[in-house]
Amino acid sequence: MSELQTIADIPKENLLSGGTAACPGCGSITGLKMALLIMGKDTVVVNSSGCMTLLCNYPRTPLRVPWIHNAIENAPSTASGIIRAAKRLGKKLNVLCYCGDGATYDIGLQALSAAIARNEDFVYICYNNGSFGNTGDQWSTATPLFANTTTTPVGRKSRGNTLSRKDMAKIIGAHGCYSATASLAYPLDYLRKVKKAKEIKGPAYIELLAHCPTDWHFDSGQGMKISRLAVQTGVWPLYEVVDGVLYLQSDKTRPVEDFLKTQGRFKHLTKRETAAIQAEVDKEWDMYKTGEYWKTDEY
Amino acid sequence: MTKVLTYKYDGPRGAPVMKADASAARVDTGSWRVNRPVIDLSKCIKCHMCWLDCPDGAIYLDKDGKPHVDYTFCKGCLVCANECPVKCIAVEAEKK
Ligand SMILES: Cc1ncc(C[n+]2csc(CCOP(=O)(O)OP(=O)(O)O)c2C)c(N)n1
Ligand code: SF4
Ligand code: SF4
Ligand code: SF4
Repeated sequence: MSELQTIADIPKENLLSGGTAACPGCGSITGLKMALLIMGKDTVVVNSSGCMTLLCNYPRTPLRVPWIHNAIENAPSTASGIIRAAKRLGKKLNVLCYCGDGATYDIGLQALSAAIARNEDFVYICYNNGSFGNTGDQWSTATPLFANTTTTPVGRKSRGNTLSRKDMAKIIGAHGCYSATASLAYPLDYLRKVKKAKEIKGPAYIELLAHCPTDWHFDSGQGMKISRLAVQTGVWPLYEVVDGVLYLQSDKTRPVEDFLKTQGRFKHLTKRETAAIQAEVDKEWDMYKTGEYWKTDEY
Repeated sequence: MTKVLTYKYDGPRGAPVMKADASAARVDTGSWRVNRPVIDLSKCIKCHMCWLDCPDGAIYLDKDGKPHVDYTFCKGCLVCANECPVKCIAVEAEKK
C-alpha cells in the first residue's frame, strides 16, 4: 500500500455492502466502510451494542469479514480473546473494535482501559455521534455542551446538556498508547491514521467524529459539510498523541457558530450560550498551542 | 452478484451465527429514496470522492474507473451530490 496521498492510493475492495438498516447519510457506517478499505480482508470486527449492531440483523450481514457482537461494555475484552485464539492457531489477523461513544466514554471504558494496559494488539475506533444513538439519542459524556438530547431536553427549565464533553482521546493518550482524532471530511487523514494504527504492534485508538443526521437534526446530505465545519471551527481538532507528545494537525479558522447553526440540536442557543461554547473551544486551543496539553490543574 | 450461503443456528445456547457474507446485499433499501442522484459521466473527472463518501456502498466503479449508482441500495441521502467537486451529480425527485 502506498502512502495514501490521494484517493487513488486507497484499496478499492469494499468490504461493506449496502442494504443495511443505517439511516440515510449515516456517518458512523461511512467510517466503518472507510476503515475496512485499509484494514483489509484479514480483519475481525468486534462491535459493542449500538447503531452498528443493527447492521447485522439476523440472518443478514453487510460485511465481507467476520463480525462479533458481545455486549456493550466488553468489546475490548472480546477482542483480547480473539487475539489470543488467533495466536494459538498461528493465524495472523487484524482485530478492529468499532464502538460508539456511549460504549467507549461510559459503559465500556473499564474494559478498554484494561485491554490497553495489557498491551493487546488491536485497533479501536470510537465513532462519536455524541449520544447513545441507537436507543434514541440519550446523553453520553461525549455529548457537547448545551446539546438537545432526549435525556437533556430543551424546555422551560432546561437548556440542554449542562456538562462539557469528556476528552477521551486525551484520556486514552495518557495510557501511553497511540491516540488520534479524525474526521470523515478529511478521509485521507483518517485513513492514514487507520493505517498507522493497524501497523502498530499494540493498542491504538482513533476517535472519529461521526455525523448523525437523526440525532443532530440536519438534512442527510449535509453530513460531510458539518464534519468539515467541526474541524474548521476548532470544535473537533485533528491531532495525534504519540508517546505522550501531541501533534496538532488542524487549525481553528472560523467561529463555532458556523458549526452550531447547521444542526437542530443547537437551534435553541442564545448568543450568550454560543459565546460560552466559543470560550470553551478557545481555552482548549490555548492549551494545545501553548504546549500545555497535559496540564491537569483544572480537574 | 453475491453468493448466498445457508444460515446456521449453532445450537440453542449459542448465539446465532451468520455464515453468508454480505447477505444484506439482497435487501432493497432503494425503496427509501425520495431523491435520486444522477451522475453526468460526461463531466465526471473520476476523482472517486462519491465512491468513498457513499455510506451505503451504492456507488461502484467500472473497469474504466467511472462511478455508477446502484439504485437497489441508494437511500438518496445526497452526500455524493453535495461532495462532488465538479457538481456533476444531479438530484431528481423520485417518481413513484
Ligand atoms: C449494559 C447495557 N446498558 C444498556 C444497553 C442498551 N443499549 C443498547 S445500544 C445502546 C446505545 C449505545 O450507544 P453508543 O455506544 O453511543 O452507540 P450508538 O448507538 O450511538 O451507535 C444502549 C444504551 C445495553 N445493551 N447494555
Ligand atoms: S442514529 Fe445516527 S449513528 Fe445511528 S444509524 Fe442513524 S445516523 Fe447512524
Ligand atoms: S445518494 Fe447517498 S446512498 Fe445514494 S449514491 Fe449518493 S451517497 Fe450513496
Ligand atoms: S465525485 Fe463527481 S467527479 Fe468525482 S468521481 Fe464522483 S461523479 Fe465523478
